[in-house]
Amino acid sequence: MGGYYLTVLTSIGIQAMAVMGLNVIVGFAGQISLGHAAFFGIGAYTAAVASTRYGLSPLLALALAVLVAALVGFFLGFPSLRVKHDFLAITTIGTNFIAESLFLYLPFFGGALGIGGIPRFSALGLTFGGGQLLWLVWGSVLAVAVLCHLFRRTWAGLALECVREEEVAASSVGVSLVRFKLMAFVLGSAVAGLAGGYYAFFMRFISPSDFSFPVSVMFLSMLVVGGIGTISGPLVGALLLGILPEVFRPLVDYRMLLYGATLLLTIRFQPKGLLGEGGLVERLLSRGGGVGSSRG
Amino acid sequence: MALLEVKGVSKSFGGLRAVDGVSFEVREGEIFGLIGPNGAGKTTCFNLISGVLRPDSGEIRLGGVRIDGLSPDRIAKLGVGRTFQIVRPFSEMTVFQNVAAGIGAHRYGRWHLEASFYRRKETVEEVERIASAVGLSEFLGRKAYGLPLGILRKLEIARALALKPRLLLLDESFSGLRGEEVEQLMELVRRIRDGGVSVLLIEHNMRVAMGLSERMVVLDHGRKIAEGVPELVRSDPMVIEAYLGRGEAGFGAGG
Amino acid sequence: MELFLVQVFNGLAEGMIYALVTLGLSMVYGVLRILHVAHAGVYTVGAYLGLWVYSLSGSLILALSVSMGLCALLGVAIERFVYYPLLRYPPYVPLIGGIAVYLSIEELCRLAAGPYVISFPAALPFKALRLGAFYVTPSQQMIVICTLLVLFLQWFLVSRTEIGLAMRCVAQDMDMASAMGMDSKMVVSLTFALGSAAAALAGVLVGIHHNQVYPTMGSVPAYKSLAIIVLGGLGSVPGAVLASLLIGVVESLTIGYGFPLPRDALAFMAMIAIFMARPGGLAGR
Repeated sequence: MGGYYLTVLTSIGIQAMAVMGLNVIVGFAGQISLGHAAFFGIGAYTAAVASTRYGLSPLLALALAVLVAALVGFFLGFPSLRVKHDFLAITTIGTNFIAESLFLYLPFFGGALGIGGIPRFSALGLTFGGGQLLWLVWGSVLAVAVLCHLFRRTWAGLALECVREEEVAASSVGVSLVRFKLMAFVLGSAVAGLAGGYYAFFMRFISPSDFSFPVSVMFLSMLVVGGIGTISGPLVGALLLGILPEVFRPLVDYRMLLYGATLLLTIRFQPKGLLGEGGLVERLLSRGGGVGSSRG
Repeated sequence: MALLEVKGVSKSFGGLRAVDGVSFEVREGEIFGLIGPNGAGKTTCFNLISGVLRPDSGEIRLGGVRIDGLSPDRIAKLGVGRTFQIVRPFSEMTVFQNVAAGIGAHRYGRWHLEASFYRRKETVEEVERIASAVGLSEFLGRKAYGLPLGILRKLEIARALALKPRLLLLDESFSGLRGEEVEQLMELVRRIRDGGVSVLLIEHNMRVAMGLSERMVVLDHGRKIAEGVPELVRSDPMVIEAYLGRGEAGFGAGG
Repeated sequence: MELFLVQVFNGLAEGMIYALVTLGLSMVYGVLRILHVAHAGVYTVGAYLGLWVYSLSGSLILALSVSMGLCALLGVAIERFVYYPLLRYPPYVPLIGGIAVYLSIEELCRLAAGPYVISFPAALPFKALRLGAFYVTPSQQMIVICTLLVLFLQWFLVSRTEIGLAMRCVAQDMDMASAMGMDSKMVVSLTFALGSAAAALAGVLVGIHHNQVYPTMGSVPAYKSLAIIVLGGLGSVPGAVLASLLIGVVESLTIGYGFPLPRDALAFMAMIAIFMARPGGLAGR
C-alpha cells in the first residue's frame, strides 16, 4: 500500500478513536466538551515524554498515556458537576486553551518546538512502522468500538444515558450524577489519551499547535456529522471529513473551511447528525422500507 | 408505625419561607395526602424529602434513619421513589429502558454490578411485571418521546416502583388526566398500597385526594394548618378559609 | 512602584481594547442568551473592510461607516440564518453553530486576502499625549473615546428610549415580550446589528492600534471575550467593561512581574475559578 494512503488512513483511524472518546462524553452522557483536544494532547505528550526523556518502552508509554489522560479527565470532569450547557462549553474551551498554553510555555513539554525524535511504536519485540501501525491503530479502533457497544448495554451505560436525558429524574432513580459524569469524562479522556499516544508514535514529532482549539472543533464536527451517540458515528464522521479533502486534492487548502461549513450546515439542519436519530441516513434507510435503525 | 417522619422542617428561598416548621408522619402501608392551595409549599416538601433540596432546619427520617441532607440518589436507594409534577421521562430511551433504569438503582455505585448487561432475563421479566401491573405493557418498545401524558404519568410511577421503594411520592400524578384515566390510576395507587408500599401524594384534585388518602395534612403558606382523616379535614374551618379565601371554588364538591 | 503603575496603565489600555471588543458580545448575550462566538468573525471582517475602504478613499470616517454598516448587516444575517432557528435546542447547539460560522469566516478571510499580516497605517486626528510618566498614543486615545462613547450610547439607548425598554423586556422573557405586542424578532435583530457594528468598530481600531490585520486576529478575542463576559456577569455591559479592564491589568502585571502563567490562559483560569465558586457566574443566572 502506498505510503500516502497509509498515512491518511492511519491519521483517520487515530482521529476516529479520539472522536469515539468524545462520543462517550457528549453522545452517551450528554455533557458538552469542546476541549477534547486537550486530552488527546495530554496522551500524546505523556507518551512522547515517557518514551524520549525517560526511555520507557513504547508500550509502557502508551499505557501511561491512557492513565494520565484518564486522571486529567477525572479532574476536568469536575466543572461538569457545577455548570451546564453553554457554561460548560466555554469551560471546556477554556481548559483546551489552558492545556495548549501549558504545552507552549512549560519547558517540560519542549515549549513551542514541541517534542521530536519519538521512536516507532514497538511491543513484544515487534516494531510497528507504516503498515503494521495502520493495522494496530485500526485494530484498536475496532476494539474501542466493541467496548463502547458493550458498555452501552451495561447498567453503567444505562445510567449514563439517564444522566444525558434528565438529570433530576436520574438521581431520583439512584443514579449519582457525580459518579457518572466523572465516569464519562474518565472513559472519554482515556480513549482520547490512547489516540494521542498513537499519534505521538505515528507522527514521531508533536507540537502544541497540534492540540489547539480548532482540533477540538474538528473532533466535534466529525462527531456531529457522523451522528452523536451512535457507535459508528465517530467512524463515519472521521472518514467523511478526513477523506474528502484528500480525495479532492485541490481542496486541502480549504480543509478548515470544509470543516467549518460542514459543521455549520449539519448543526443548522441536522443537529443530530447524519447517522443519529432522525438523521439523513436513517431517513433514507427507512424510506427504503426496511432497515430503520433504532437505538433501543 | 412511622415510616416517614418529618419534624419541624423549614426551608426559605431568599426572604420567602416556603416551608415553615412542618411536621407530620406517614405510617407503614398507608396512603397519605398532602394538600393545600397553590404555593403552599407542597412540592418543596417533596423536594426536601427526596433530597433535591436540603432543609434549613428540622429532621426527616425514613424508618428511623435521618435522610435530610443526603443526595437524591442516596435517598432513592434507601427506598424513596417519586414522580414529578411536570413529567420528566427519559425521552430518547424506550419505556422498557425507563423502567429498567429504576431497577438498576441497587446496582449503581457498585463496580461489579454496574458492569453487567441489563437486558438479562430476570430484568426483562421484572420490567414486564411492573409494566403489566401499571398498564404499560403495549408501550414497552416505544420511545418515551411523544407519548401521551397519561402514559407518561404511568411511566413515572412504573419507574419509581422499579426501585422497590418503601415510600412512593406522587407529585400531582393525576393532573391533566381524563375521568376514566383518573379512576384507573386511583385503583393502581390502592394496589400499590396493598402491595406494601406507603404512598405520599400531592393532589389538587380533591375527589382523588379525599378518595385515596387515609390521612392527610393541609399546608398553607408553608405552615401546617390541619391534619387528620379526610372527613375531619374537609370540614375544618381553617382549611375551608384557606381554600375559599383564595377564591378556590368547588372545595369538597369534587374537582 | 513606578513599574507597577506603568504595568497597570498598560493593562488598562489593553483592557480598553478588550472592552470595546466584548461590548457587543455582552449586548447580544443579554438579549438572546447565546454566546455569540461569531462576533469575533464580524470583528475580523470589520477590520478588513475598514482597511479596504480606507486604502481606497483615505477617509477614516468613510471606512468606519461602511465597515460598521456592512457588519451590522452581516451580524443580522448570522442571527437570522444560524442562531434564531436553533433557539429551541439546548444552548450549546447555537454555540457550536457560532463557532462554525467563526471558523468559516476566518478561513474565508484567509482565502480572500491571504494569510499574511497586512498593515493598517491610518492617520488619526489625535496627537500623542503625555500624562506624567505615561504616554498615550493616538490610537489608544481613539479607543478610549470610542469605548466611552459606545458605552454612553448603549446606556442611553437601553435606559432612556422605548426601544431600549423593549430590549430589556425581550432580554428578560422573549415570549412574554411578544405576547405583550413587542416585535421580539426585530428587537433581537436590532441588538445584533448594534453589537456587530460595535464589533466592526473594534476591529478597525484594533487593526490601526496594532497596525496589523490578519485572518486569525479574532481567535483570541473570540474565546477570551467569553471568559470576560462571564466574569463581568452575563448580560451586564458595564460588568463586561470592568472585567475587561481587570483582565487587562492582571495580564499585564503577570507578564510584567514574570509569573510563569501563560497570559492567554489567565482569563480562562479566572473564569473557571468563578464557575466553581458560583455556577451561575458572577451575576448569577
